[in-house]
Order: sequence, then C-alpha cells, then structure tokens
Amino acid sequence: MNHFKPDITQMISPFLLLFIIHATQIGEGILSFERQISSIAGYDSWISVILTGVLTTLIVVIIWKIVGEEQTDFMAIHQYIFGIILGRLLTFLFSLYLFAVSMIVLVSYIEIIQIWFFPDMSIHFFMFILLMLVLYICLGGFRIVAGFAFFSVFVTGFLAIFKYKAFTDGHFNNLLPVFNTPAKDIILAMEPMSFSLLGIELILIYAPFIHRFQSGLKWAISSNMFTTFVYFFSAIAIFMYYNEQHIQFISWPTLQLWKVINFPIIERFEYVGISLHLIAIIATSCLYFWASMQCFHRLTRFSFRKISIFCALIGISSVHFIHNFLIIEKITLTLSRIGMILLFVYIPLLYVCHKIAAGVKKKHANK
Amino acid sequence: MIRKKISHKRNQHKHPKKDVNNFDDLFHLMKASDDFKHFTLGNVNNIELFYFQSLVNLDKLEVSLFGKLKDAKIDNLDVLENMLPFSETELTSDLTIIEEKLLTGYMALKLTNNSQNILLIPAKFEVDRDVSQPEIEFSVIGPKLAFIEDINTNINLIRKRVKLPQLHVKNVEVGKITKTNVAITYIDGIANQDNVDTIIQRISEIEYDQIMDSSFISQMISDNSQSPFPQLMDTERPDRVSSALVEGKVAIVVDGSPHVLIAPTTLVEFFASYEDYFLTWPIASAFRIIRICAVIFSVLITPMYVAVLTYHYHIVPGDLLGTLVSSRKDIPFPPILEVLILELTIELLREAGARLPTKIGQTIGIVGGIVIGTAAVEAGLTSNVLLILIALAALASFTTPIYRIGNTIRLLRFPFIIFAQMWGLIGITIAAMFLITHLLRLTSLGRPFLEPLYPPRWRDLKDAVIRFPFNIQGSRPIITTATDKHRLNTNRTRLKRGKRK
Repeated sequence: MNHFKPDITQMISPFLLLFIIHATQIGEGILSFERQISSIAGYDSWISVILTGVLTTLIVVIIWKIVGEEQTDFMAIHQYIFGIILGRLLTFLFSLYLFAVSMIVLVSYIEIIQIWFFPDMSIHFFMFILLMLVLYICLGGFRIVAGFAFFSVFVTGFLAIFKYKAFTDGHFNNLLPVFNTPAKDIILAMEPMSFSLLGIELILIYAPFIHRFQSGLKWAISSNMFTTFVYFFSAIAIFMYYNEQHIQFISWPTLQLWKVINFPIIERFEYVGISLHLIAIIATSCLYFWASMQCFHRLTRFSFRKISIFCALIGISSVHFIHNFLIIEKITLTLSRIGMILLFVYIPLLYVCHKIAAGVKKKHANK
Repeated sequence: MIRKKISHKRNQHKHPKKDVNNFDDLFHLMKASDDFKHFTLGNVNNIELFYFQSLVNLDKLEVSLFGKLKDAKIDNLDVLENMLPFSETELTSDLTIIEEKLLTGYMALKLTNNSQNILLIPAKFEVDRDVSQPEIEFSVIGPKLAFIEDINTNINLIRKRVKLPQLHVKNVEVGKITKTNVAITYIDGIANQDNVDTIIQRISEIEYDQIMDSSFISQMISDNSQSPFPQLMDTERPDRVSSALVEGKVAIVVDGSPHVLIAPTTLVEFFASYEDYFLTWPIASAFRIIRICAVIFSVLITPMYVAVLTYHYHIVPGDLLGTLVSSRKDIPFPPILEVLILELTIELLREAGARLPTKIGQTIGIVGGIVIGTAAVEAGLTSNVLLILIALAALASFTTPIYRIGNTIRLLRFPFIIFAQMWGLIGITIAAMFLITHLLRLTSLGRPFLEPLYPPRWRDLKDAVIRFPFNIQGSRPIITTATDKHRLNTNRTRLKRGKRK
C-alpha cells in the first residue's frame, strides 16, 4: 500500500473534526429539508431526523474501521482492494462526484440569491468571483480549508439562534399527537433526510491530514450528533411555526420564518441571513472541491495548483448548462441519490471487502 | 528581483576601483572629504593624527590627548597606548577595522616611521536625543518611556527591566552601504532557538544597500511581504518589549530606529494595548472588546451604508428609513459616490494632519473637519447621516494601539465598499470571506497569524479577546513555543479555601 504522508504544516488536530464535519453537512439543505421530509412523514418526520442521525453515526464508525491505524485514505484503500486500474477508476468516479457536488452547492445557492436579491444578476461573473474565492481557500492547503470551515460553524450557529421566533410564535400542539404516521413513512422520510447529512464520506479523503486520527472518533461522532441536533431543532421550529400543508408550498421555510423577525435596526432579517449563510455554502463547497482536487492531483501527475485552476474553469463554464431551476433540482436529486448509495451501500461494502482482502493477503503472506 | 540584479552588476563594476591596499590609500580616499582632519603632534612631530571632525568629540580629547602629546617623545605605539587614559583603545593594522572604526567616531594615531600599525582611540560624538515619552503608544497609567534612535540606549532600556544573564544580544550587520547594526535580543532558555535562528538567518540574508529603520527589516523578513497586514509587531515601549521577551518572543533592535520589532506575533496582539495590563482584568477586557468592535465597525459601516441604500432598503425599518430618506432627498449622487467622496476627504484630512507640523495640523484638522463637513451637508452634496457614520468610522480606526495596523484598517474598507456596490450585503460577505482567508493564510515566522482563534488554542485565548487575571495565566503562550513553558506555579496563586470571612 502506498502511504501518503502530507506535510506536517498542513495537518490539523483531531478536535477540529468537530467543526469540519459539521461544516460539510450544513449547506443549502438546512434551508429547505423540512419541506422534503414533511411531504412524506408529516409532523412526525422529526423522528426520521433522529433515526438518520443514528444511522450516519454508524457509518462514521465504519469509516474509522476502514481507515484503521495506518491512516490510509480512499485512494490507497481502493488500490489495495481492487488493484491499480480498477482502484484508480473508482477513485476517479468518486472524485467526479465530489467535484459535481462542490459545484451544485454553489449553483443552487446562486439560485436563492437570484430569487431573493438580484433577479437579473450576471451569474458568470458572480460564479467567477466565488470560484476565485474557492481557489484562494483551497490553494492554501487543507489547514486553510479547515480554518474556513471552523469559522463558518460560528456563523451557522449564530443564524440558528434566530429560529427562536418559531418557538415564541409557534404552536407546540402542532407536533401532537406523536406517532400518528405509519412507521413505513417515517422510514421512507429518512431518504431525503440523509441527503442533508451527506458529507461524512469526505473523511476518507482527509484522514491522512489529521493528527492522531484514531482519537478523533469521539469528535467525529459528536459532530455528527451535533448536526443531527441542529436539524432536529430546525425541524421542530419549522413544524411548530407552519401548518403541515403550508410547508409544501414554501421552498425555503427558514427564509420565510426569518422574514418575520424584526429588530430596531433590521426589519427583514432574511437579507442578512442569506448573506451570512453564503459563508457556510462556501465552506461546504471548498471542502468538496479540495477533496476532489486532492484525488485528481494524486491520480494524475499535474500539480495541485494547475488541476485546481483547470477544474475551476470547468466549473465556471458549467453555469452555462445549468441555468434552469428544474435542471438544478434534477442534478441535486441525482447527486443526493449517488451520495446516499455511496454512504449507506458502498462504504459498508468497502469495509467488508477490505476485511476480506486483508484476510486473503494475510493468508498469502503467511504462506 | 530585477533591481537586485542591476545593483549587483553595478557593484561588480565599482569594486576594483575602490582598491585599498595600505593606509595611505585609505588616507587619500578619505582626504577628499573636507571634514577629514590630519595633523602631526609630538616633540619631533612624529605622531600623525587622523579623524573625521563631524564624528569626534573634540572637547573630550583636547585636554587628555593634545596636552599629553604636545611635548612627548614617543617611538613606539605600545608605549603610547599605555600612556593614554582611554579604555577601548585598539592597536591594529587591519585596514577594514581601521576604516570601520574611523567611520564610527574613532581617531587614528600613527607614527611616521612605523607605517602599518595604527592606534585607534574612541572619541565618539553622541548626538542622540534624550529618552522621552512615547508619542504613538502613549498610556495614561504606567511607565512613560520610549525607545530612541540609539541602539545601546535601547538595549539598556530592555536590560534594566530584564535583569538576567540569559538575556542574549546577537549583533548582525546589514545594508551594504549603511552597515546598520541590528541586535537580535532574546532570553536564552525561554525563547525557542528555532525562532532565533530563523530571524538571524533571515536578517543576515537581507540584500539591500540601506537599512534606515526597523520597518525596512520588518518588510524584508516578514513571511508574506505582499500583505497589507504587518506580520511583525513594532513598538516604542520598552515595557512591551521586555514583557514579550519574557513570554519567549524575540526582539529585533535596529540602530537608528526608535521602534523595536517583536516576533512572532498574532493578529489579536495588535489590538492589545500594553495599558491593558495596568488595569484590572474586567476593565481591560471591556476596553479590548470595545477596540475590536470599533475596528469591525470602522471597516463595515460605510460598505453597509452603500449596500443598504443601493439595494436593500427593505432591511431598514420604516421609522429609520424616513430619517435616511429625508437626509438624502436633495443629494444628487448615488450612495457609492457620496461615500467615496467623503471617505477620500477624511483620508485627505488625515494625511494632511500627519504631514503638517503639530500646531498647524490640529487647526487644519478642526477647520477642515467642521467647515468642509458642514459645508458639504449644507450644499447638499452628502447626507448628514453619512457624515456621522464616516466621522465615527474614522474615530474608531484610531482606537488601535499599534499605529501600523491602523493604516491597514484605513485601507481595508475600500475593497469592501466596491464589493458592496457590486452585490450589496452578499458582496460584503464575499469581501469578508476573502479577508478571513487572507488572514488564515498569513503566518508570522511560520506560526499562524490568527493563532488563538484558529487553530483554536484555549490556553492562548486567556490573553486574546479577554485578558484574564494574571494568576490563571500559568503558562507562556503556545505561539512562541517557549522552551520553558511555565510562567508561574499556579498552585500557589489559587485562593485558599475554608478561610473564615
């Protein structure tokens, strides 16, 4: 197995996993997931939030098992199990997925900006500036990407406070009686919910960049639980505030909720909220972008800098083809499906294969 | 890079011209200058004396030297050396030493017969000003001493506060022509040797002809010299430097500069006034928080004005919108132009105030500020709300204790204003993200510049935004990676329990 050892100045403490994983998971989804889950399981869908949280925590543990003591990453594991050619192909597909996610996150947020702020904004130029920012962050190395994610968590934390309005103005009775939806629906609602918790697959890429990776498990689990709690809190807030049928007609319930908040100097909080949430979006996009560039960089012999600039140019031109609300929705849905399969099917499978391969190789070594 | 190459070439051309083989050549080279004096003394006029009139204190010499030598009959310089009542005399025939000493205020004595050996006598003419009050980092409470332009006085001021044999001073000479003396000061056993080595290496590798001030060195050895942020702290307070040395940092004292550099440093340190340590911790922390808020306000308020009035007037509540609209109703310009005009006016006043002599500067400031401000509002060129905001922002940018970061903050708001004009609040967020990334990428001597915030280090946060009391700050900051981590024995500072009240 080829061991990839990053530069010590780019490595970070395992404690920061608490922030990185949370920042990867919180993206555009936090603004709209309530609509998706409640369309299946209604007011009881908060149960699916918790169930999904438990399930993803299991996946985190499996990832820790896969990475093991040697702190290998996705690429090394693929090559170990499937050999060089197939392993590289799988890594390439995986990094394509990561790159697509990093772009779609940006594009779908631009859509929100277009709807709420500037309907006739030049997307190309805006995307150009955003990708300049993404490049500026990613070319600084993993330490900078993690640093940005660290600061973004404080911003989302600050924004989460403003859900208080739902608790003061909402009706707790909305949630009662509990368990009046069939269990099947609750299970089905876990599917859209798991889109929002995607992001733990990135651990497989940045595992070598973390000091004493094994001791980071507690932070990773806390982070996943923290994200689950944020989603749970958000779901409760929105369900208390809105009517069950009403939610289906609102694209971004949180933004509508923010509209109601007013302070002596701020009348419409959602303008501030959308602007600040962009920080979280950039953090998510950067982490995905960095991870996919890391894969591309190690698959090819190009320098990290060159391949990043090249991919950023592809990203800018991609706006040309994704111009429609429906296309964005479709791509998001497809990517989420892929991500879900990756997370809940492929990663456990990989674990099993890894175990088998390790056993076989050990046997061979013994002979 | 190109400049360096050219200067290098030029030197190669010049070098063979200045070929000095013996003292006579040197004498001819220096004789061309009119303040170089040369005359003979002694019984048989066999003692020759050379010196630069402008570098030598003649009063001191006339009594002791001329009196004794007038009728002396001397054949040997050794005898002369013992006869004269000076310490630090030196007998040498090394031409580089002779040249250097003659140019730093020594006199050269030479016997006519023996041509190679030369006796050097110190007769330095001191013209430095006295130690005075700090001008930039003034504090109401606490010591009121500042560094001056003389390196020995400055090191003396530090040594007075840190009475330790482990306080080491390493001298390096930089600048091809100015040959400026730079002293790297640190406490051996506390400061990390890596930091000291890095600094010595970087300073000795400086390739430049003139080093006039410590800021030259600060620009040349900082990690990212393209950044508007200073990555080495410069201060004129000896107490601040001494305290940094005790924390395990390294100080760079440059001859001819009243500012001493401290490295490594972090962003939050630029917002910490040394006076914070003279006040009790709740008060000091409150002031620090006010200062940080002031800086954020100063950078963001005018971009906010542009963003809100250009795009997001919905954000402003109805009552406040009335005030804003009525103040802007006769203004012919869009908010961005209005802001740029007023910001540039303020910058103009500030720049003029800094360049003019103190007394005129104050008058110009008041006249310019009040007259131009009021007239601009009355003429209907700017709104009075904006005038208030800009004046407050200017005031807030002066709260930084270190002048150098104040300049950065002055400049920082212009990109923010441009981004605000492009995309409103979203633009401001994007500019802020660029700023955060830039700060994340900065390092000071290879240590992260945003240190106690990112990477998060709780131990250093005790003296960052909030200054916690002395007794719980038991260890030296992580940023300095001090060899001796522990500052004090925290067991002894804990309050005694079970005491009757």
